[in-house]
Amino acid sequence: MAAYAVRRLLQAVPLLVGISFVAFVILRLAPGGPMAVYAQNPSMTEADMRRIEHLLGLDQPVYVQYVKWAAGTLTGHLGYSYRTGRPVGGVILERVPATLELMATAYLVAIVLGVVTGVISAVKRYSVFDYIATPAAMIGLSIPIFWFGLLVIIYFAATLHWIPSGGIATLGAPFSLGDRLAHLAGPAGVLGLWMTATWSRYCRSSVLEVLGQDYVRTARAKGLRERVVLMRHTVRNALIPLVTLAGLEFRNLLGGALVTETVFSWPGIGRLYLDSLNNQDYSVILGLLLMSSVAVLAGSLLADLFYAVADPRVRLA
Amino acid sequence: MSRHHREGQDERGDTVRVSDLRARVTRRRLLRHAAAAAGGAAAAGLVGTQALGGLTEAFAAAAPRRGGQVIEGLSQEPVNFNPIMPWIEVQRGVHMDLFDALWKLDPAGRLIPNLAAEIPTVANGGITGGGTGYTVKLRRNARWHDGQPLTARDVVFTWQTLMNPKVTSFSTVGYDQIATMDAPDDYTVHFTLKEPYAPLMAVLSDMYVVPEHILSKSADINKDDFNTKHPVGSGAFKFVEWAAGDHITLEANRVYHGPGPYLDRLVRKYIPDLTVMFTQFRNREIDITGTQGIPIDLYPEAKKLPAAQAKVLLTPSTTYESIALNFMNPLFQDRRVRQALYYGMDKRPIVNGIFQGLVQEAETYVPPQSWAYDPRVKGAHKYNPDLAKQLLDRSGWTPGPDGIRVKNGQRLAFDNSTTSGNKVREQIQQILQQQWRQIGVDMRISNMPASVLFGDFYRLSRFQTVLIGIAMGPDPDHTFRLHSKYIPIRGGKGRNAIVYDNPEVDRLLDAGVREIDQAKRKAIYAHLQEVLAVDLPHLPIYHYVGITGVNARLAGYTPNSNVVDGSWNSNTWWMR
Amino acid sequence: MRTRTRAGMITQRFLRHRLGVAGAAVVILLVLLTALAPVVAPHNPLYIDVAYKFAPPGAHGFPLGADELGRDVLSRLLYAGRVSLAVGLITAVIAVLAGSVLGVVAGHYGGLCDTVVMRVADVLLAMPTIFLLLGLAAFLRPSVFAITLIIGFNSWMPVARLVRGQILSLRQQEFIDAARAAGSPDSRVMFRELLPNALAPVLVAATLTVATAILLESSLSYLGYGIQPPAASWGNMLNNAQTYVFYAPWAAIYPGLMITITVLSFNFAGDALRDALDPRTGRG
Repeated sequence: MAAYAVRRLLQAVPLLVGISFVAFVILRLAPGGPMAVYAQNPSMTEADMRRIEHLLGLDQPVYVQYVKWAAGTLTGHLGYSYRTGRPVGGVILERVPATLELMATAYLVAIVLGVVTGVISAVKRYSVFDYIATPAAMIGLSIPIFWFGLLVIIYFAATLHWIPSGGIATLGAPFSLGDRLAHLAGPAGVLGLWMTATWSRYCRSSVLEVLGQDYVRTARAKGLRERVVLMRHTVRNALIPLVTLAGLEFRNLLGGALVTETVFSWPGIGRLYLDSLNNQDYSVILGLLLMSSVAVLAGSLLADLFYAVADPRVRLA
Repeated sequence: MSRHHREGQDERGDTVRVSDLRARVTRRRLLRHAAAAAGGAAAAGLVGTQALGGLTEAFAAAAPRRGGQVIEGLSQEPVNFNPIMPWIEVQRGVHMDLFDALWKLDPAGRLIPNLAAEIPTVANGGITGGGTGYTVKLRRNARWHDGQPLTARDVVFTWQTLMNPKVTSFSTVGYDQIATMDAPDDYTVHFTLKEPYAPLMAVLSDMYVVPEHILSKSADINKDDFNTKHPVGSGAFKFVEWAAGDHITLEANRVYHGPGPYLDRLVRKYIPDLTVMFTQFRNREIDITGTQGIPIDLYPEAKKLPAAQAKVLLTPSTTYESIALNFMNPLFQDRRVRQALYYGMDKRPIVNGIFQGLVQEAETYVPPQSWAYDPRVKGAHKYNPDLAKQLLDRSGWTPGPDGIRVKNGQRLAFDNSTTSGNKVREQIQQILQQQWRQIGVDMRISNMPASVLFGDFYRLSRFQTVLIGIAMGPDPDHTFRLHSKYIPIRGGKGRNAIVYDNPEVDRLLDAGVREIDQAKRKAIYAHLQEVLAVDLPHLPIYHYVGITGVNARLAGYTPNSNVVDGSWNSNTWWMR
Repeated sequence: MRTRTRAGMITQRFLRHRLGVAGAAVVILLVLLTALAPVVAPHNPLYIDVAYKFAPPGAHGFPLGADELGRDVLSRLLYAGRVSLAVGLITAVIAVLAGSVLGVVAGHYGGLCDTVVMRVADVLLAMPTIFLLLGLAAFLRPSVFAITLIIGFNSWMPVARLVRGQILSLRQQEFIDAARAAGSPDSRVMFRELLPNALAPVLVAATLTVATAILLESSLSYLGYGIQPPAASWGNMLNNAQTYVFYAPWAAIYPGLMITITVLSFNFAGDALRDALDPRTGRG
């Protein structure tokens, strides 16, 4: 298995080079640039902009810039943000905890709710619960997440005042868990419920599949109590493939987090990405694309490895 | 609707007009205030901009109370706290809290000494050689946040750093007019100019002084931690922390040399969405809606807030919105076409429909509250579609089969671009599109993100027409926008991206900056505005007005159109 | 004969799926309504009259109210639907065409061909879709055409993987060997024999791609990088309306509802189609 992991890691290297190259070329060949945000500053002139662009190396040919950037990246230095002059790694890393907090909470909500509704829907197939939960999950998959977030803000924040309308904590107030959770409720709830839909659907069909397997029928035939059949034989086996889902869904979760962070002014990497796009802060955009790709690849690798551990029938090839 | 105006005293004892802006401000009233203010200026013989009387406020009643915190919402994030580095408005606001310049511009356009002990004038011997020699005496009690005294060496270092070719300093405009600068003693700065340069005092009001004893040791000022992690200033507030993507916390500098500060803490909270920002203001989560303020569409909602909770302030700005025409395009080289477009523009749906009468129609780049505003251009523009059609007929553009005019097989069609995502601009475009279609002109909308629009597309004059806001700043000099020497694609160093080349305008602009007598300058700029109103390189639409929501308990917040951010006097803010 | 009975069975199974039928019906209705927008819409969707700014639903002859420039919301919804649906449908066509061709080629030839196609797919799949889409859209002039291309460019990978997988399992089967033995050229084997047999899952994927593409377009437009005015899509109507949610909520609620209903319909239809085409899975 260690050999498998190493091989997967090695395979990821050309992938990352490909990603960085594609992203770099797209960004640099496109019009605009990091100086454009200052175009409306009344005291900056064309001469000032050209002088600054020259100092930042933005007037060099694209391939020179790429080689410089790639060389730095190989040594672990992702370059400097054009907007702040700060090292890109630091700019990104300081935003990671907020995003992780949001994603982890949303994952928790999604997995717990998704598995519970999915299992009940499968076991009580064609029941009233199933008839409500299954289409409801489909609505969850179909609703634009930003619109869902907007509705939550309009209703729960602006009308009922149950939750704050954005941000990560009340400013100036000392840290309190309650305050933190209140701020987390909106974005994590929206993101979590949105993900619940996927989990519930997958879980339902996975349980249904296992229920049709021979060993479950055997267990029932042996006269085992239904509870035992369900919990020990069915649900446990049905949940193992869902580990892969956790890995695969990581990418969607990251995308969902970007949109949710925007709606709820959550200071994570999604917000940073949009701000960097608005300012054409190339180096930060590249760094984020690269780091999110690494995270996605790592997520799917971990899921595969975990799957192999959990299910002895699976052999990694 | 009671208490329209009352006289009050601000911190420095200057009399300013005060108005209760919770009252409905209609355009007519705004104009009346402006007229009254202009009259007052003439009577008092004041030099400098007279603020719109009804639009500034100060608090006279109670003595300032210490303590409390203010949270200001910002729709963009300040990310660099070094005032030498390139900035956007919100960033400048933080610079104003942390740093000091030699003097400040108040809402009336008057210079108020800050680090300087007094404003240099010809009368007090501070300005010599017909405007080429300046001597500035510094106050002796200014200190850096680390306790070191602030001296003339810091001022000289700041200018040198701005001009240092290795530093990505935000600007050399105006600073490059200074030939030499030195510090004869710790509290005297002396500098000489190559030629008289009238906008210099305004330029220096924006030169925030940085500490020599820290930055002169920096290996690379462009990437120094000073810029983002521990800026050390001399201002009323000290830097505490920056939680990236969320907020910036500043705390009171209790040994500040000026009045105040009264607040304990000043927090800047980043809220990218203006609707969310307004929601938070309404929920009392923030005290001030910063720079971009309250969107015009939420103004009716803002007015409904109880008076005890919120004040809604209107700030006139030096920015005006216009259609900029690219003179590279033969279409716009024909003055009759430019005039026809202007006569075909009905500003009423924009001013009354979109802005609910809060803004004024613009005919010139100079804001009505400026001393340089030429009242004679008022009314130069009229909506007259028949005249527009005649002008186009005379110019050889005749209606084609689809109603769009044609000349030599070419349709009278062009693209208009603005920053995508800007709701108000998108609405204006769609209104103009409909109006111009009626005179047989096809305007196509082709928008792009600001970072693309203001890249080479604008700078290298690749656009056909753009809808943009242009800020005049505190001084009426507009050389970088209109002078033929400042055309970027011809190698010029300025912002004349419309490639406007008019010898008469060049001559007036040159004369304006070399004249330091304000009465004579006023005549020059009046003439310039009249020339522009006929020649129409830009089609001015309206003068900006900022709408700022402020917690009713916050005293001292005073909109100021001569600076880019409301933080210019944050040292005097206090919570009732 | 065989296909006809199979088609009959599939139709029968599809029709048993009530939500799927409802979804398909709604899709057909929406396509008809938006296609006939010039006839159905009560007003000119672009006509501006600020006098009617935010006229509430029902007032002044605006069935669903008026927007910030006094334009009829219902008419705009119908015309915007054309853009949203077109983006969704064309994206699906691009995804299916590009995905099928690349998948067949990769699966059939294997080797370097396979590696290149699948690695490129991996590269694109390793970045969160919305990150990549925003990155591309931010640097292009966002026309309807460009947005469609960008979303299409990011949607072919699942189809390619699907087709490749099908091809890999199909090529082991006897009828392919038979075709080869009969001397059919590669292209014939690929597109006449292999592809039609992989078509069922592709059809399902296409339906679901429409749903995803409509959602992606709306997210892009909502974030300000999508369809630009005066062209309207449901996403950019939402983007415009979000400023006014407090006093003109209808302007924000209707477009969101339209997106949800449309995407839901495509999803239900796709689900039903999957069940109908693949008898092994039970009802959705």
